[in-house]
Amino acid sequence: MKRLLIVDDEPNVLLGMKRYFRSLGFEVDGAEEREEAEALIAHSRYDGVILDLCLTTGHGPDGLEIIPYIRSHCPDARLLVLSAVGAPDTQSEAIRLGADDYLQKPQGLAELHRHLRALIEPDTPRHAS
Amino acid sequence: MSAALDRLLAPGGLTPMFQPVFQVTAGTAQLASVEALVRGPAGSNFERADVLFDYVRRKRAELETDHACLSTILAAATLLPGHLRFSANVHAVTLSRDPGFVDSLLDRLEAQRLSPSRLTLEIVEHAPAFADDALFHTLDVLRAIGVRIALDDVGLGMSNYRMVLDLRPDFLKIDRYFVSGAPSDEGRRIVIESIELLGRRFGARVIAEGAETREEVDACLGLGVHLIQGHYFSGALPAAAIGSVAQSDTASDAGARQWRTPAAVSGGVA
Repeated sequence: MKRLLIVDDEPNVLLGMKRYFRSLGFEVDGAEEREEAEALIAHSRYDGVILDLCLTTGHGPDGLEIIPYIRSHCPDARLLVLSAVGAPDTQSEAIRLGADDYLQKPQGLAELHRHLRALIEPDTPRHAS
Repeated sequence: MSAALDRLLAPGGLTPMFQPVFQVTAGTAQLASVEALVRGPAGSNFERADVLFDYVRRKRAELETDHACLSTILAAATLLPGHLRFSANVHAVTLSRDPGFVDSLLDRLEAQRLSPSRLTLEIVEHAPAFADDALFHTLDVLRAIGVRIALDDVGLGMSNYRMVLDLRPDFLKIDRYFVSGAPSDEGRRIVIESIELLGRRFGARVIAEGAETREEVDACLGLGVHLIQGHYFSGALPAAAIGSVAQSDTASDAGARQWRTPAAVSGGVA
């Protein structure tokens, strides 16, 4: 079973995403904040991470800051980032830091799943290309 | 603070369980003490202790968490058999940076009518930066009121010779990393043997953590370590269930816990 970590600071959104992906057969953990996500990543192995870049800790968005941590501790996980921020700079920065794909919110769950499947299907390992 | 941390530290957010430590000698394994193991809410990420305490350290909330843990542990400890010793983990930073720690601990012990002499504090995450005069003073006061000190995870990270020398713990706890696989790994056995010697020379008792098989227990016994904690004997239990463990030890037919040391047995489980 593929293991998925979803990081989103909106509890209801996180809950909905967790339920949706569990219904599709994923084993899903969720984290509402950066430290919780990093603690999970430090002690778990994930096939994929869905990361909302707009995490806040009271001093501004810090989703981008998690990306290097994910890449160094979970190098084989495919990383799909989400953000309501439309600035092309944010997208390019996320990709530069190691994100595999980028979607702007809001997105339907089916669309999210379509992108995720393209990243973590068994025949598309991270280092295959 | 954050919403998740608030929920964690609120009343009912933390649940203590107690894992027995057995004194294993020729013929028997007798309940010697229990270690309190705190878990976060069931079904949450913090039900896993590794995630819980990693998160707490990342939030730099060790002090608040240690106080919350001690409150819930001491409340539950009232359900343990009378006079049974118990241990609780505490971060070195809490002992070093919280000048009110001992006073609040004494208040909590008194409120629960628990003797300080039943308590061992296991120091975790002990970076040298916290091994300062404030920490040493706190340890002196704790010892003066009867609390004993254990050094956790000996052999890993910052739990090293310097910490043994500086803290002079009453107990050294060998991390499961060395116990797991010890029967087939001479290197691990050498480390266990060296910690046993270290403890003996410093006057500290040595506890092996994470013994899950008969062979791992045998390996520890063969190296002179007779205080053993691990799933081979018992996992973590609610405080109220520890009484049955203690009673079974005193029975003449101790059943699964009846024991013979490796030197006394030629094969098979006694």
